[in-house]
Amino acid sequence: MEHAVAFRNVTKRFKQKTAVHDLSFTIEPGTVVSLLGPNGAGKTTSISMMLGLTRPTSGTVRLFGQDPTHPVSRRYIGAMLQQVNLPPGLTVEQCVNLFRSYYPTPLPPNTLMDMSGLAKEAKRRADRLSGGQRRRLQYALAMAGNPKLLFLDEPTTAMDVTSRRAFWDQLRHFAAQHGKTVIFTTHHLDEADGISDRILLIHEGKLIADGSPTHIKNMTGNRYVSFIAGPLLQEESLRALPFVEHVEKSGRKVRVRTKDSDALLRALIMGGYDASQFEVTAGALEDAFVSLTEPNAERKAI
Amino acid sequence: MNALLKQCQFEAVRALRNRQFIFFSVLMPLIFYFIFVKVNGGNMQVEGTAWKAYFLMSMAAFSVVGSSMFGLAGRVAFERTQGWLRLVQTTPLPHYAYVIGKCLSQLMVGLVSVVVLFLVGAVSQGVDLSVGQWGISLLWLVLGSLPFVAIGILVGVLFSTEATYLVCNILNMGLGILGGLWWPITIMPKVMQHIAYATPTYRFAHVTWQVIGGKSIPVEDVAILLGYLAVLVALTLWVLRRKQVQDA
Repeated sequence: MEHAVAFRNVTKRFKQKTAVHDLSFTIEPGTVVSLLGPNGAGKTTSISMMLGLTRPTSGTVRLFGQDPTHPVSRRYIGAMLQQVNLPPGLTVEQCVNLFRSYYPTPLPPNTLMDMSGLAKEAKRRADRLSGGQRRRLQYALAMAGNPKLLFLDEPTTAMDVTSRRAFWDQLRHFAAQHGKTVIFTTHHLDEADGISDRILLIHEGKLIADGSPTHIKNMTGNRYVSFIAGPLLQEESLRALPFVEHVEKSGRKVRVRTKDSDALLRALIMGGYDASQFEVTAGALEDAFVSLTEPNAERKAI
Repeated sequence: MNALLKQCQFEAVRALRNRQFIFFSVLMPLIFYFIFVKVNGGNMQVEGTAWKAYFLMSMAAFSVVGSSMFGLAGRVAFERTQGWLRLVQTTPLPHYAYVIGKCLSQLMVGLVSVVVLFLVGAVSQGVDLSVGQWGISLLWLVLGSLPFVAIGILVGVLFSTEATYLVCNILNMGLGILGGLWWPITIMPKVMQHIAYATPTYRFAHVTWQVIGGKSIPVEDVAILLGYLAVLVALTLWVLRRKQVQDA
């Protein structure tokens, strides 16, 4: 089957800096992929190239085997971009119908209204919606053409917790049911962890990690041993233990990062440390993210 | 085709819903019309026509010139700087449909305002013109406004949303006064008359003044306006290409 997205040795250079550096990857149809990385890593530039809004300086970008700047490619993509303000004067319904008119096989208006949870707001002026509602309207616009490939650049910005959950539930359901390919960016790493089949971690324009959320979390080989510290526990002696890389304390709760949790646990228990309620985890996606993208910060922490 | 029609329809809806539009393109020209007809007397003869008819054409031209520039410049600047244009670029809507939609809807807006001004003028002041004169003037005021539509788009491409209001104000008042929309250029000094001949506003309104005076449409006016249009379109395309190179 044809790749939904294919990057081959893509480099994008702006005047002073290289935003994307020799990036290569492919995305198979039907996968939900999150594109993660610190600010300025090259995520938005990569998405712009996939959308055909900018051309790579060198290398090729293909969507289903076609050049994304070609008008035909635009028929089967939908996008939610950052920093889009809706023009004043149109109602929610009119915005949706305007976008539907751009595509050969649009979804019915009612479906779009239901999907975005804006059915009640249909007659309201788009520029008078709240931040979260505007974001949902942009989701409806992205879905207007019933796209095979959906780009969501920080879709949940300005949404409250409930809307965010409803949004992802809806999206996951929709993507799974219709075999859609979804590519998104987010600053909420728990969202990326819960939704994506695959994570592409970009740092300084390069791909530094690629795999399932579990794979990424295990990549660093880090384990986190948490416990409740008793009054007798000395932090210095804890740091002196073998395999301890980083100690984090909040109140009496202590979280220790290590490469060998078994050895650390043994040392803690055998050494008679004043600690209870041990727990060992692989850490959250955020921990892996930080370790993988900020090697300097990590060294300082140790 | 469907996309183009929808684009026109919604552009026009947006333009007509704008309260500023109603004020600047309908109310303001009408207020000035009544004041200046009162001051000068409606039947004063100007270039072989009654002032009330002459000035109605001037104000209709003023309305169309203003709404073309203000309406489009503001919308284009907003959509360009607020990410909307980028979003539209990800859709299959062809670039030409976006631009044509903007232009056609602006012509529709012009049509609506001119019809309103004509009706109010004809009924309140008894402006007496033949059906042909009304019809040709109306058609000209709509189609002949294309160079001003082009100015509006160029200003929107060059400036931020806030700055477009200032730039359009200067252009609107400047070109209006210099082009003789406020008082006939025949009462201006010779130098000013020569300047007026060069303005698109004078050429635009002059056609209607000729038509209501029973004369034919001057080819020179049409040619000069087409020249303006060609230069503006070329300039806009050049600016857009430069911007694209800068962004890339």
